[in-house]
Amino acid sequence: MSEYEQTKNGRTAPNNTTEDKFSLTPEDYLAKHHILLYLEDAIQQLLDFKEDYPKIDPAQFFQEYFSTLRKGNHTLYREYQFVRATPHNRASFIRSFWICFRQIGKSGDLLNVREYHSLLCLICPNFPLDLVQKTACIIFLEDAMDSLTSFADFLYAFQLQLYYEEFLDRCSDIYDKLLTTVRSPRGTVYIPSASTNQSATTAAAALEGTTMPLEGIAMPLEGLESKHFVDAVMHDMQDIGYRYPPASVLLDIQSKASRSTFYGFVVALARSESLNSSIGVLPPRTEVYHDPIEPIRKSSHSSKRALIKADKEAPD
Amino acid sequence: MNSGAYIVIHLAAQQIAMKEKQTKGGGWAQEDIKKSRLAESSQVNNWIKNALSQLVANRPDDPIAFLDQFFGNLGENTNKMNQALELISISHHSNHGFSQNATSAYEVLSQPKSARHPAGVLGGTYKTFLDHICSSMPVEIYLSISESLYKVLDSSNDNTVEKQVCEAVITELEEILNLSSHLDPTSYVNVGRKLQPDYLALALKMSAVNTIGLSDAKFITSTVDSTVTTGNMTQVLFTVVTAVSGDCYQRF
Repeated sequence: MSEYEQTKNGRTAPNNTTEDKFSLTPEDYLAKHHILLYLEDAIQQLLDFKEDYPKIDPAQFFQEYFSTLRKGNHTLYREYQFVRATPHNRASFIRSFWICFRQIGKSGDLLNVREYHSLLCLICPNFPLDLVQKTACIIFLEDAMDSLTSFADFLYAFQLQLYYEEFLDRCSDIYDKLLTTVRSPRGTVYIPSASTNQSATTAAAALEGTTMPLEGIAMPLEGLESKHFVDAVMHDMQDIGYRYPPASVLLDIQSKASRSTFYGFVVALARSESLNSSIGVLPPRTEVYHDPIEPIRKSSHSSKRALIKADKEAPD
Repeated sequence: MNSGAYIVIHLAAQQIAMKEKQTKGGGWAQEDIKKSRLAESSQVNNWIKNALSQLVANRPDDPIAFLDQFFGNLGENTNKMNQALELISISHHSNHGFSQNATSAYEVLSQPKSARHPAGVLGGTYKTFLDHICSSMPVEIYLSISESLYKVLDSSNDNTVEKQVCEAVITELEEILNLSSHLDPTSYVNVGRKLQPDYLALALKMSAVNTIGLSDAKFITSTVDSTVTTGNMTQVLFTVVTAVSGDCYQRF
């Protein structure tokens, strides 16, 4: 599983052994890190920039391009296609959104989801509405574009939706498939929840199967068994090449509730601090209104270079 | 770099070059603008090719940081020593790309100041280069060298070495380190003389026999202490280990 996480998770694993690195073909290595994408984009940006500023020095341009790429500021004002192109881009965009607009949340203002979409469009001109609608579903369990929500709630739901969009779509398919197979053969069993539903009672009574009376009411169980669902998701993760959360996060969610609906699962993911720290761009929810501390990528090279330059010049 | 990797780089560079040509389009007003743009695009192509070949050869864990550094170094005014040091430190010496990096580092350091001077790495430059590399060496390296020295001396393979042997070696090391100095190049000749097999054998013979062995921990701490406190004696230590281990295997 960890090997898969290394190749399929967006971020490179910090402890790649030499064997892992060189066992990939050159094409795979370059594709894994989206290097050709960035180089082509750099050249395209240079050409676009040159039209307005013909005297630009390409070396300087590339220096700035890769410097901002490393710091994670490169997705600001870029088109949506670029923002969603790589995991690093998506994570950087989420972080940029947080840095730009966290002041709004600080004063306790509640905005509706449509207004958050407008904010997104300020930093990404063609950001699609449907992704924001999906984010609303995570928060409200329905496409409630006019309901108010806090910045923090929106931010973490948005992070999950944008960073793991393909994974969530896949989970939804798996959930629906499992639900149809689970419901058909068996009858209803008791749910421990307090809510009762008269129409469900009559429907349940009409179905075949054993029921164990609890206060005389039988109801169809919501959702699926967590273990069953999470097992199916984890099994799927191994076959298909999309990015997915670490297995530990999923197992943690599974252990917290014996049954869950699809949105119960998704909400648990959005609130999961271990998922948040595995993506690594946003602070824990309690610190969301604090000032950002450091850029998302750190390298030992830059500090080493500074140290060497501090020494006196070597005689040539 | 194998042919497969070269093909990838070539194709990638071609792709990028084609994209450049597509978007350039149109006619340019003047011939010289056209020429300078073509020259520029071939320069950019070269950068891209170099970046890709270094990436594929070295496979850094953080390629974006690598590219940031690569393009940061494109400027002319980067110190040659820094360039060479960064080339050497890109990958571990066990990696495929290391020999390529070492060659590039050599080429950077050996560039002559002007056409009249001969090309080659000056002794002083080489020494400063080694100094910089060794300055970032952790104490663990001294520890592991001492451990291997202890193992070599442990001829009976029971994790103990006779005290007289240990003390003889430690004394010899201390004498050697006191002998050599930066200021006097001929001191290294004296050091070499002291490390010859005859002298070492003599030193061992002259110490008294004692059945109580010195534990490896004590041996290691005393050798590390004496080497670390006398400063940058890395070269000496390497010479010592190779001399002792080579010689012991020959004799016993």
